[in-house]
Amino acid sequence: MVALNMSGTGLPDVGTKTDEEIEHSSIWNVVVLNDPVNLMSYVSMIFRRVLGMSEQQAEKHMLEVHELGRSVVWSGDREKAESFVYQLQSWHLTAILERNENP
Amino acid sequence: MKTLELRLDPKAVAPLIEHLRLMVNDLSGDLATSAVPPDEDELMSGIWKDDLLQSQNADLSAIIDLFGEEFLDTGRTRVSGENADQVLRGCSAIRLRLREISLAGVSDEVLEAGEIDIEAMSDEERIGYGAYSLLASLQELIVAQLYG
Repeated sequence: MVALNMSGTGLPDVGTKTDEEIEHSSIWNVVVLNDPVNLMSYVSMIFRRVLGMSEQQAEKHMLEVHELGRSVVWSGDREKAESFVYQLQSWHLTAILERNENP
Repeated sequence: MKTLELRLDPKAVAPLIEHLRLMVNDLSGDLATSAVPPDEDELMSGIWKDDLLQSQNADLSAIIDLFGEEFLDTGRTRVSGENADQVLRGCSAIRLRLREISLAGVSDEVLEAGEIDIEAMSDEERIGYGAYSLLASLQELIVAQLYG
């Protein structure tokens, strides 16, 4: 039996991360920012259709966007978060991706 | 899904339709929102924006079709499950551009509250606001009647 020895193979050093770091970096927020143009009913409908929210959830997040200027509408892994940002942007909402600093 | 039939006086809205077309032309090759791509890589960001632009172009075509020759002849047009999403998104894109160009002199607060002083507007602003309101009404109708 031999041990895997990476030294002298020419391969780059493999970095390591603690469990805490992995957890910290792997959660992303989809954030929708307010704009003065898109209608409240339109925004609620998009939240229901794109993010699968209930009518009440969609209304709550829409009002949060309207009154506070932003709302975190989804959190989770980066790939899915990017897909949601793309879909929301295709509906002309101002959606951005942010690392979740407080998972 | 239901079909929504709209009837308008084509002569009355002709200047608004003409203004919409100008906005559609203005949007060709340009996204209505800043649409920040999540990836910092230039190539991936370019692909992201190109895909959004293709989607936006299809939406704008749906608006042009909606208010095409048949509408200008008869005053009638239809929104159904086939074109509803594109029409909704197209309305949003054009309204965002109208806000930037025709309604640039109106503050966000006034626009959001709908407290517009139409008498104080220039002719161009009035037409822009008419088009902006027409598309808003259309979006409200589609959301309420087809997705309500």
